[in-house]
Amino acid sequence: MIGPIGDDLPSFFPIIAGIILFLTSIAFIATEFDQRNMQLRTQRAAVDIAHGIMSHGYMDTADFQRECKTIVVPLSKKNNIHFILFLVNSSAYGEPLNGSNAFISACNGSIFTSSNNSLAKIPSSATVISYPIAYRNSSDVTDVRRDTGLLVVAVWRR
Amino acid sequence: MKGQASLVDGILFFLVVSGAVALIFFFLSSYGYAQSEALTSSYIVDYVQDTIKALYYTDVSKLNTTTLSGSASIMSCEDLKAYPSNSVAMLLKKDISDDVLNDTYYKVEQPGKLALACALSEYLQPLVYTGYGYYATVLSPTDEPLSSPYYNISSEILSVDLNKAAAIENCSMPGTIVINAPFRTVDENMGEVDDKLRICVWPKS
Repeated sequence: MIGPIGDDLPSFFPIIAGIILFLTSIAFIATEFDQRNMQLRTQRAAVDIAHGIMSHGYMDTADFQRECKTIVVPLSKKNNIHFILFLVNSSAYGEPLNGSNAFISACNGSIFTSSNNSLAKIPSSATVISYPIAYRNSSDVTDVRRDTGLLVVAVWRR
Repeated sequence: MKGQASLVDGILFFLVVSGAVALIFFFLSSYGYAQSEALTSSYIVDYVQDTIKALYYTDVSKLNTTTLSGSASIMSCEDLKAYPSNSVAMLLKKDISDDVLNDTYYKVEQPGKLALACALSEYLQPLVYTGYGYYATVLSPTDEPLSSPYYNISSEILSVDLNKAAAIENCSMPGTIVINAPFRTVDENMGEVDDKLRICVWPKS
């Protein structure tokens, strides 16, 4: 009645709305998939780092720093991640670590430190896991007994 | 009429696209869940295996400040102060040399069971705080649990609900992960015995 274009004109709106909905959804889903895959890869990297440094159930603080440098730093570069490792006494579990006596040693790949200031550098998006380990503080020459510790691994994407 | 027909075509196209998008979102909602579950399960197995490894190195006298939970809370880890330079595994091996997990080797006090209870209470606290329970025992070479009188090595008090206690002791609670570690001991004739240390971990709902 009003010509071929005029007849088809009303159908353009739902078709264009459908195409926009589809493309927007695909873009959103692609981002979401990417984020979830990234999260899984980060979790996997945290486990790999922990496996790398915990070849046996015991560690002294000197070993901790050395193995962090020789094993964990190359792993973190390979996986393109940032990390911080803490060796803490297991009595610290569930309590704030800042200023705690339970803090034993830390390592973050670039600055090898024995202070707990590294805590401030962990972003809230980091994957944090802990593993049990017996340890001895090699700087304490008066006590050679092996205590109960936790190795805390915090990992996040670069 | 032709205009109405093409409008219906357009609306149908929109509905098909909406259905397809809904299906993709449905798939997306569960994507990664199975992988995440598998990682969590593997993490728990790793955690308990590392705990067992640490038992070979941990000095029992360092466990004297640990607070016991579950059925073992009637005991005190402070008693372990008297056993410096003994690892948890060492004391446990002495304790079960007579095939009974009872803190004595015949009549000599060897608190291996207490040391194991204290060490697990200390090391497994992150799992307990995140909603898991544990139960530990030692199995003979025929996979029978060794007699373990007086108290149980568990995060739970097992005397309250007998059905639940039986399920915990048999490691048959829903979602239980069982970790068996070879644990070689020496019997009274100095013969080697291939026992196993079994730790069951289950999610408490």
